[in-house]
Amino acid sequence: MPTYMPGCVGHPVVNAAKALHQHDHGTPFENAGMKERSWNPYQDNGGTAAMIRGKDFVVIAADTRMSRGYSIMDRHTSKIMELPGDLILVSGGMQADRNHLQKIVKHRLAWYEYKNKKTASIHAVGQMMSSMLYSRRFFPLYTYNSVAGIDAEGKAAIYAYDVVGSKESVSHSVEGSGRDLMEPALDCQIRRYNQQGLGPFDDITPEQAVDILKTTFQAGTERDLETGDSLEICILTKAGLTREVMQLRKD
Amino acid sequence: MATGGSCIGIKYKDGVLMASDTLVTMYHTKKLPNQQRHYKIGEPARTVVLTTGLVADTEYMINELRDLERDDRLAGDGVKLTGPRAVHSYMKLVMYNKRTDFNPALFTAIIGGKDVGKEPFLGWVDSVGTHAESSCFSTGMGHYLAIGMLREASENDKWKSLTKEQAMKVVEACMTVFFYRDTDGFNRIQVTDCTDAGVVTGEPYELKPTLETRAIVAEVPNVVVL
Repeated sequence: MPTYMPGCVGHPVVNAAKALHQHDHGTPFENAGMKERSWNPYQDNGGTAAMIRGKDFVVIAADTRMSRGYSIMDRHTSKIMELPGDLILVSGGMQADRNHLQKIVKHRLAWYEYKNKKTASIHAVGQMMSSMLYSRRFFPLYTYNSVAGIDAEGKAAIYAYDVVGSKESVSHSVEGSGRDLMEPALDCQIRRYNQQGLGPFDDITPEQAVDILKTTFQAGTERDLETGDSLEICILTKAGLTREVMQLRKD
Repeated sequence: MATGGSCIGIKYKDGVLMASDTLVTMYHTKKLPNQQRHYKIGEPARTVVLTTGLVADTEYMINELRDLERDDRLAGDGVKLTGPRAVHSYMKLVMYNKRTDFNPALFTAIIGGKDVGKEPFLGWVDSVGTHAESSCFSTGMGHYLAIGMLREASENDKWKSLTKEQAMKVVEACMTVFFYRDTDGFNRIQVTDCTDAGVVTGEPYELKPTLETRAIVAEVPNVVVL
């Protein structure tokens, strides 16, 4: 029997933290032997999002596949949201929670603008995201987030978070199902860890960053089944945002 | 608990075709073999909702949508809260909020419709609030069986040149496959068509499947037919 029976008084006790780590929907074979499984409030809709920061620009790339277990539910779902003040919020993980998060962030930033007569800076939004995510510490939003923007001095910034808002200012971030495959590639090419004679690739140009991201996504798509279909690439500079779409493997 | 089986929806150039069987299953019994599971929303109806999953939760959701119809009627300002896109948006919010309260509506819904002069709309919501909009959807066990055929016919912009006859062929092929391969499948089906003229739900009819095992076996040499 499912643990939740409609008509029962009271709600089922579901350990949100435990539920966060369970897979809700796999192939029919994964449940062989089990009569029914309990409903899980979380779902991992897959997909990968990555960002690379240069001195005065950020390149953001995210695939557009929404999957559930071994099924592709939609091939054209965007993970990228533009925030006022030329900021970008990218979230991997669960699509329903992402949608909710995008809505409440948009709402918060609209009110910030009304009260303060200016748009929120990347550093303000960076901190705000951390506290917003932590406010859901005991029923987290299953989203892996990063925000990017150019601050008032023209310097680019990326903040990456875990599900409960642990914030880190980084030069590149990869979130989502392809993270294990793609993050090492970016560590190697952008940070250049442990490579003799080379320091971090700080003077990267937007074209180089786009090229690195496209190649890395191609690689990730080959092996990660939840990444693919198409790639949305945004280049964020002081002048604004440009978008492009690249096709990825559909299988 | 009473559940409804697989549903499909596909866009074609003049509208949307939605289909499901007419069976309500209670665990492993075929409880109600002649149920109308297509819910038309709006006065006049411009949207249809099909669900796979708990019938009780579906009825609850449809009642919520009837409240929207009532609000339309009372406001009388010509702005409809019951268009397909609006119903999809409303359902996804209600489903998400219910899941956040650990009181989920345990079904997956396909919402289809066409507003006059606008493109046909087909959307999908599940019990956790995940939603999408695409040219075709298939829910339940049928997702695995039909989605390939449906996408081949309608993905990207292929639906814009798909005629109703072509779409019906695909729909009937999918519903036949459900009957063959899904243990909860049923060959009595119903198809709803949403066009500029409105939402027309056809009468239920039986498919005539031709899965004859003997004929298939006979084509294989050296097999003894008992």
